[in-house]
Amino acid sequence: MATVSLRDIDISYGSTTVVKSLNMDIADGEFTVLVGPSGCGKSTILRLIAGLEERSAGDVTIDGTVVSDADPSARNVAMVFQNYALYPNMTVAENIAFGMKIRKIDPAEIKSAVTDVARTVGLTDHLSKRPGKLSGGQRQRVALARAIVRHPKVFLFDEPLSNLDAEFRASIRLELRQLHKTLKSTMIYVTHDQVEAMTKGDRIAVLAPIGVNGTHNLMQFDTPETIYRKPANLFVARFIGSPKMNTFEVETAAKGLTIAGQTISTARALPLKVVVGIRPEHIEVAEHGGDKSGLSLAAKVKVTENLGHEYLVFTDTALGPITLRIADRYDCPKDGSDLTLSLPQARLHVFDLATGGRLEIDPAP
Amino acid sequence: MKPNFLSQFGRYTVAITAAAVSFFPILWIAMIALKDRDDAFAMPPVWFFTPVWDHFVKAWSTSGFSGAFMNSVMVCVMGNLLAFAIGIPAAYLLNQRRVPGRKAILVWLLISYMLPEFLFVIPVYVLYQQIGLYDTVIGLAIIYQIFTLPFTIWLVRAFFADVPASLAEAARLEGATTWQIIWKIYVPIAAPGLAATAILNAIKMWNELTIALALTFSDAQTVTLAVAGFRGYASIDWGAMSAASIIVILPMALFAILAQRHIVQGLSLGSVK
Repeated sequence: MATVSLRDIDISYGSTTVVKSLNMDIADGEFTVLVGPSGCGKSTILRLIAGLEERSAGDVTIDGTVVSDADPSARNVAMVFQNYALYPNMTVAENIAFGMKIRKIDPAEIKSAVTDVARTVGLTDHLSKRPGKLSGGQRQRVALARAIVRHPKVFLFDEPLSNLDAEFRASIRLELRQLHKTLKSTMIYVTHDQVEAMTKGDRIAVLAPIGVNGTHNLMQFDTPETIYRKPANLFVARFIGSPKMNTFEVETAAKGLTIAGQTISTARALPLKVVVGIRPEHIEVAEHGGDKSGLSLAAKVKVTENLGHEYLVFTDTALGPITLRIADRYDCPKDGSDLTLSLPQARLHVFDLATGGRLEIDPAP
Repeated sequence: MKPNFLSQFGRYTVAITAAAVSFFPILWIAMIALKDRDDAFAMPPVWFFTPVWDHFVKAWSTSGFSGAFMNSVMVCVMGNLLAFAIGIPAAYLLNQRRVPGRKAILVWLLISYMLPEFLFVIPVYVLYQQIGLYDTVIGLAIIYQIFTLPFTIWLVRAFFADVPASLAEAARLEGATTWQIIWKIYVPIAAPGLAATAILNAIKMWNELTIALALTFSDAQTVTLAVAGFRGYASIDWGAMSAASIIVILPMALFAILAQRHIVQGLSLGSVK
């Protein structure tokens, strides 16, 4: 168990900068998820912590010790790779024991450690098999066992579920959470899947490719609730949530903004141009009764998708295309029909168009 | 689609012709080796005869032949040991991105493989005389590295490239040294490919004539030279020479048949997983 901190990290390959000015402090025992689209540097950051990647500047500290130049083996971190990285020429037991064998630990001790960890992850019956004979989920467990058996200070997961089918993914996701509760270790988890990020992390670090704002990758580092309710910028707002947040450009007046002919007055002055966003699940439909106090907006249904428990409705409005979700207790609107949408003011997010940063718009008293 | 009779017939004709053309010389030599002196060169050829084994007995007991056979075996074993001892670590390291001059080294290895072997013979002849490697089995095994080593490195490199890099990274995190990663992970995984490489190396060294002719005299004579030795001053003992040729061909043919699957994999440069 340990804290991990990254100080002013830069990582470049030749002229390509992958990570810039990264600062993160991960608490002892915290489950942190690094999430972002491809090219955001999330795997690179994980590999940097493991010692498999070189930094151009900055420092990595694990458990209070600067390990920036330390060999991977000296950092006492364990990593679970996307392709599991099991040794195909060894049995499950040998895979788990490999690290201990290298360190010349007493064979009896190795044997009991392997037996224990196999019981923890449910591999007892498979110890003498080769990885090639195992299912994806079982291979994943071997990779986990190999990490657990070392009692590392930090667990690193590099998209460990992406090679599994949906059913397995859900069950292993739960098991990982359970494991984190039992071991109480610091865990850092990389994924490109925002659902995985939301369901797993104590805190989520949302990363963007360096091109997004040019100065740094880390867009927001906070709890899942805050990331969802108060996205710090347009990038996070659009990245977290599925289907993604509806956004539209709005011009502002002095201390207020006008959306579809209705004015919201704000306590403070806003920049000239802002982006207003609202999540599809927060839009009310006037025809369904419910809350009509929000901004009213006429919409024409373009097309709908039936997901069983809900419908996704894609509409055209005066503000541009808007997607909304309708629960299955209502009828699915017909293509081409007209709806009156109600956008609750409390659910609106406002961002500065120029910087992408979040603006708080407390209504004027 | 069901192949019709004609296309089927065509295919078999081509296949059988190809096999017959390449097999004919061996068959011819085998027949000479098994016929008695009078039948051997009779025209028209005698197709049906009672095989005689005298030529084989004579060939094997001819002074120096069995010794030359053992020499060739030793050259193949030592040549492969040397090639792997140097080639395996080299192949691993040349697969790493961070080795400076990696491209240049690889290109040089390819060029040196393509150079005519005879180019090396004259200078090496003098050198070997001076340092006592002339007419020694180990001397041959060393000089054969001019072609076995580049070949080994290129082939093993391709097999190693098929091993996911994350395996090495996982092992590094667990505290394994580069040496342990190579021998405990890469070599066992690439074992079939290494076996194919060894066999291809052995075939090349076994069949080599030019260098062996220049750098050996008697003690380290190889089988190919021993076969040529059946050509006496006055006459050629065709029967014994043919029998000797069959003895020389046999081990490599057996090797090739036994390891055929691995060799095909090896020749496709590890692209088949």
